[in-house]
Amino acid sequence: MSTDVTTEESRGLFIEVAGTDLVFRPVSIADRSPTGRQILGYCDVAPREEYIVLQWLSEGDVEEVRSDETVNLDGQTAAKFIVSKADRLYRFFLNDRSLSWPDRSISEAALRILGKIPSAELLYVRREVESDRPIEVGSSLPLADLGVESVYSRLAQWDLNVQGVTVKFDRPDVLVRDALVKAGFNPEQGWIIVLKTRDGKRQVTIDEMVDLRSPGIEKLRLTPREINNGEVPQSRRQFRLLPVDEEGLTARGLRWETFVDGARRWLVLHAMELPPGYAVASTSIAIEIPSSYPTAELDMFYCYPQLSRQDGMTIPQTQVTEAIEGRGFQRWSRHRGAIAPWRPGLDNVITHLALVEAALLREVEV
Amino acid sequence: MTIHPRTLLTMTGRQHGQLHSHLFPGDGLEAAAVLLCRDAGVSDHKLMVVDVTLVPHDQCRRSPYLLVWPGQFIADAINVAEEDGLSIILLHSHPGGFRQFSDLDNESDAEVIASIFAGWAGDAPRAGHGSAIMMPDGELIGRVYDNRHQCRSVDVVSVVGDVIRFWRHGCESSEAPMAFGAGMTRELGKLHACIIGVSGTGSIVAEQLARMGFGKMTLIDYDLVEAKNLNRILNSTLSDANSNARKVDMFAAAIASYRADLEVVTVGQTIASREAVLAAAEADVIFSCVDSAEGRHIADRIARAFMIPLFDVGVSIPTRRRPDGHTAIAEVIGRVDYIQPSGSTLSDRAVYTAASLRAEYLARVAPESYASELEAGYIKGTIEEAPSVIALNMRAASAAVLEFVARAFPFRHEGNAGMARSVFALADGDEDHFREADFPNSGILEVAVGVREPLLGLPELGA
Repeated sequence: MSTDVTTEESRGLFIEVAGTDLVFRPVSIADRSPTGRQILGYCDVAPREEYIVLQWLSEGDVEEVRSDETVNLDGQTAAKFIVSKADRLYRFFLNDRSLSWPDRSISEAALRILGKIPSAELLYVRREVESDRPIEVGSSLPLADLGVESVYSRLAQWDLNVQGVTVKFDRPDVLVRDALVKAGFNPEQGWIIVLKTRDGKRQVTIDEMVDLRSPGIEKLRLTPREINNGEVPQSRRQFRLLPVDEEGLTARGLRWETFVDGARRWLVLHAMELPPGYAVASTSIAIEIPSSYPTAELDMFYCYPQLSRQDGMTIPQTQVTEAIEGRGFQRWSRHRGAIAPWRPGLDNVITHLALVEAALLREVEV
Repeated sequence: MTIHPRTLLTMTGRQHGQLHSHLFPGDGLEAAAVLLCRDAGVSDHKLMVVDVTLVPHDQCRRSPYLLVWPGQFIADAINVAEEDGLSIILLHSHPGGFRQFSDLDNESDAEVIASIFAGWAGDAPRAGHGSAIMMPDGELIGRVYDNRHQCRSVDVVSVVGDVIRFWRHGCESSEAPMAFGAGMTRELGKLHACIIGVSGTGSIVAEQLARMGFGKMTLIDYDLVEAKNLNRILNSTLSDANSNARKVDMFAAAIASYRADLEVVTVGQTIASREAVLAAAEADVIFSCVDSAEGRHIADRIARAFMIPLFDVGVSIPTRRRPDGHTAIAEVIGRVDYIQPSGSTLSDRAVYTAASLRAEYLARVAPESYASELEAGYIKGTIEEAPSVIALNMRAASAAVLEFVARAFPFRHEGNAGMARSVFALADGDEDHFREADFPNSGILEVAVGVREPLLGLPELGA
């Protein structure tokens, strides 16, 4: 087995030849020091005088092999030649290397192959008066228009302003968390993060990807999560939720804790605002998290203080009271049903919360 | 003698089949593929194949003894592997069946593997990168290089499919030993089984495996021996019940009384614990002999995350109420499920569900709430069951062990494909077999994630 490496047996017995598309194919040869004319003969092209032979040297240069010039093929790798019908050569520079090319233009793909330029880098052609022009993916660069073109590559770079700090990225897809870290902010601090773009602004989570290619991306604005003054007890985290849950809850600016009471495992969300129509403005909501979560389903939720409607109408299926750490939580028997069952791998605390919010809204909707 | 940690290479039956048909298209010429492998993170260097790239035949110069293929495939592999810290294994075929790396292979590795390390950004993967060859009969021989370009052989290549294959470095033959013979005993001596649950069925499975000659066994059970267990747990004694011995300790002591050359690891914890999961992840094969949805759920996830073949056994004696009010036997059932890494899971096969897991949790931690929800119809009750008996347990445990033998030392006339699940019903006098295709394959549980946090994707098991 071998990659593009010739072996003892085959060394010097073949060369690789391509047209201007640079799709190389092996060509057998009989002589280890052929002339340009002989190479054309091996390639079986005619009439030979209308063709030009270029050698792509291992250092990266591309040079013409004249018809009576001999090439020494004792190198380590198969020699690469570009054979093309042409009556003149166009010279250009690629990352400061001088190259000859038999066509009036060269494709962006060919430039990348010749310069071994990875797709993460952008190609530019130098300009004197205006700013250097990017060479778009899939386009070609005319070589006959001006003097000697000079092409260079550099890592693509995107800027993002994170709360006044400009950070640079070499790729356009940026994780919000990475942007915060790079700008010197602690991502675990529980920020409310808003992405401002030309089209407006939206809240993003710490694990979201931001596409810096979108036009008009201005900045990530960070707002510290509001801290209630007074004796706010340290939130307990006696067991972990999924990363997506923990970040989702924090991103919503919720105060939440997890604890085990007896053997039952509870997530409690404090001071959840309620839609109008209830006798109180906010409540704590408890969700029981079975130990096999997230394969095990979440079901129902519990409210403290217990909820009643302002108009005095009863709320169905909330009669049962469950003691959680000694406080009587009101059980809301709300279930997914057979139509929308729990989907392990997709459902989590955040999706369950949507169900909770919908259930709370439904009871007071007019 | 094997040096520890060993280097293992594991793939699914599906991956192996795909590779074999690409590498041996029938024209007698060499062909190539690139494997990306994740280190499972256990004590051995266990490389699990997570991605397969077949190098198209028309992009190679192929002959029976020489293969030249474009380096672009390696460049592409590095791009993906670097991100995830994966190992790259370059695979090609030896159509002539030459069971060694050729001089040409050595020269090529020296250059190519060095270039992979040289072009790597960040820390090289723990197990390094390597190459492998495949024989016409499917045998794989592999080797890996560390970042100082030191080469070592892959000790074991395993394929977990309808058939479970182990190819060991230095073996003279690539064929699987014959079932029930001395060759099977020798092979079992090199295998590590994990038994989750050492009770009614688990103790009987463990007894068989120990006597058959397994080299290493891990026993996982949190429970203690009680007098009421003595009617169905092999090896348990009155003195164990009186002293409240742990089931795993009781059983390990029993094995030690008749096997000197067997290494036994005991984990006196529920399988739903980090320690037990990490212990089970070291095994070559897992037998799940639990009676809980939670236990099966964890076994399901371990088998998938660490690409370990899983045999799940269950027994059940559902009853019905006769018109006169008396209880009668409805059926006497034993079930064996064979779970392979990319196939359907126990969850896909509805052995447990999201609802049954929650109900089981509630029944355990809040029996009164469980009863109230049962009453209100929010959760489905289980049918009343008669206690299972040792005779039924023995038959089911035996079926599970024979299922393993049939997979690792094939003997069935019709092959194994039709036996993804076997169910025997003694009242009806019938036996049913199900194929893999009879079950949905949701693909929800990720394959080959290894020790990624949270462990098994379960917050409860996170570090």
